Amino acid sequence: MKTDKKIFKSASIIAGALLTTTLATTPALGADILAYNDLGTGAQVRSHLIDVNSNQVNGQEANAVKFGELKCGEGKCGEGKCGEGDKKKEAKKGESTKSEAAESKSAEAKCGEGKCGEGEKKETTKKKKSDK
Amino acid sequence: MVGLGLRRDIAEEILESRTLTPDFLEFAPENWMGMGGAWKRVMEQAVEKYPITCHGLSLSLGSPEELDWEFIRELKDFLDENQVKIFSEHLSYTKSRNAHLYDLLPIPFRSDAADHVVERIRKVQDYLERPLAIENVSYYTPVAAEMSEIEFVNQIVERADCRMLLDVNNVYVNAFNHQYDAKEFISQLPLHRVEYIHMAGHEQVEPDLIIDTHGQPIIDPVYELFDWTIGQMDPVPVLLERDYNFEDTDQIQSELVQIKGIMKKHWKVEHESA
Amino acid sequence: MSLREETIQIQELLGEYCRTGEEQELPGVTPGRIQHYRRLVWNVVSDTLATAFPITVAALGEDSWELLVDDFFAAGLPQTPQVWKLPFEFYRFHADRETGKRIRKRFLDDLLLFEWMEIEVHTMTDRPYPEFVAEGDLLHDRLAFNPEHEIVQLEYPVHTHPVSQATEMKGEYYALLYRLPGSGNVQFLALSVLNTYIFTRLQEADVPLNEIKGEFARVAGIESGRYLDDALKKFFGDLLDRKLILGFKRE
Repeated sequence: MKTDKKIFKSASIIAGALLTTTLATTPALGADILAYNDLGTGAQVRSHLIDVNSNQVNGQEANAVKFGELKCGEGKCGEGKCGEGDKKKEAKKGESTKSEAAESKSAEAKCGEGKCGEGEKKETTKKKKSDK
Repeated sequence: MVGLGLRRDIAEEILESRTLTPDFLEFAPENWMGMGGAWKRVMEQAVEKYPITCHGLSLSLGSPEELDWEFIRELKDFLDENQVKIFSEHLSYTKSRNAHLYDLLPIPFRSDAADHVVERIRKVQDYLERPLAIENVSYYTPVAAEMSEIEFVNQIVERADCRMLLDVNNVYVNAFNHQYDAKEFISQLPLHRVEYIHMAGHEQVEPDLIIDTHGQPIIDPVYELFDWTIGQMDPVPVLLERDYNFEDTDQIQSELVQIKGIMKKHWKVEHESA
Repeated sequence: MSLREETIQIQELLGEYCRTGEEQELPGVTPGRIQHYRRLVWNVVSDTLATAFPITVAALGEDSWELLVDDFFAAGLPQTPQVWKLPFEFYRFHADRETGKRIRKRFLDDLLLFEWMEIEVHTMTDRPYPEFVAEGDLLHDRLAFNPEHEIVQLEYPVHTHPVSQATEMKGEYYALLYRLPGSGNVQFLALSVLNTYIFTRLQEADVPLNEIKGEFARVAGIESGRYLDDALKKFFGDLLDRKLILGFKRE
């Protein structure tokens, strides 16, 4: 799955970045020239970043994605999508807890009909364009 | 033998045999194929410790799409590597217009759909070099049906010459949702083709609708239907499906014990085919 | 194919309805029941993605997040039969469509990739370990790297800062994720460009550190000498303690 240019293996890929960076700001030579940050385990990283980002989001309407920004301009407006704002909002039960506690976030498909998250969210039906 | 579906939330519990002591385990191969690291080790330990059956989710036997042969090749490798003898799949479709949907959609009960599924089951069985056990799925509405569910299921199982995974809870759920007699339905099935049985819990969400959730304990009427059903059959392994709500493992273990008690009432000798 | 066109169309309409939520005219259905399929399918996808990307959910807020999921599921055509790989397709979908740019959340690609990489590193197929011994010299022996790691290049430091700050800090950032031997748990390091270069270069060259430290000094524009030796020994010694370096290769 590693088809992304941001996931790399070759030192030569960053040689250019290195030259630019070091030429711009020559690092002070000392034992900490190769200092780095240990961010911890996956659970620690998630817990910290969820916390700091949640604090940022709370109460900041400006941070919200505007629906039109996402949908319009793709030939989709007028198909009964834009302006759709009537989704039922239901709190997810224990979702963040589940993510933080798990050592792995890899999801597990379930046998049968809709076992994951059953009863947690209620996605609504959208009227056909012709019905609007 | 009474088995339990291996889910990550209870993997450690099962492997250490703390409270849960199934006789065999069932994997959904899609959840474990191609994985390394900690989950691979869990799977290896499970294979080492227990007999394994596999229950597929994504073959999409009823789909108008072409079969995904790359996936089927990987599946065969997985089944071979883990020496899986029983492999089952759902009589449903999960892929449409080149998009996976990750749930089981109802195939229209129609003769052309039956022909299509029969053809695909045969192809898959041939490639996998093992019989497929096809599960009767729960469904919440028929779609464009031209025959009854029992006719549809029987046509497919007989003509594909495949095995059957009888989900007793699904029969109960469907009988409730579509108002038919569960025992009459089961009595019309080719029970000699049943390779193993699934039992599970469900949730009634409306006065006339049950959703097959696998998240609750099995209710008494489903035990009663199971009791009646296995009285008509030769011994086969039985599996308890539980997909979430794992907090009370004592209660899940008690379900395994209750299932085994009913099996012992009907079948004197333990079945060892899993 | 044995299927009639009409049957194909009916099956596809049901699938389409489940993905988009847009009403379809389906014959022979029980009133009020078909909506459950849309709800259940949506739940699986929504739950899978929210579990995979909890930081993004927190950073965007739930309503905005749901729009991204809705957009993906309606137009993304999920290809993997394995639902645990779905988050990667979600990331690729939004990266390809430059969603982050369009919704003015420029950090989005980086954050989705960063979160996906934890799953990738945790679950990727095992990589063969090199042979190694525990004792050796950091500068004069070849180092045996833990092969189960990935480095991700980020434009915004979403791995260390809240997105509101990270957005103002465009640059070159590197996150290294690796799988701990034994437990398989994923550990994270935030590396500088210098760390990343010497770490990657040394693996490629597969020679003792001593042999490439001069090259490193030249590329980095720093003086070679005792300070550099000390810095290199400290960095790689730390990585040895952290099991990102397993030990030393001997002939």
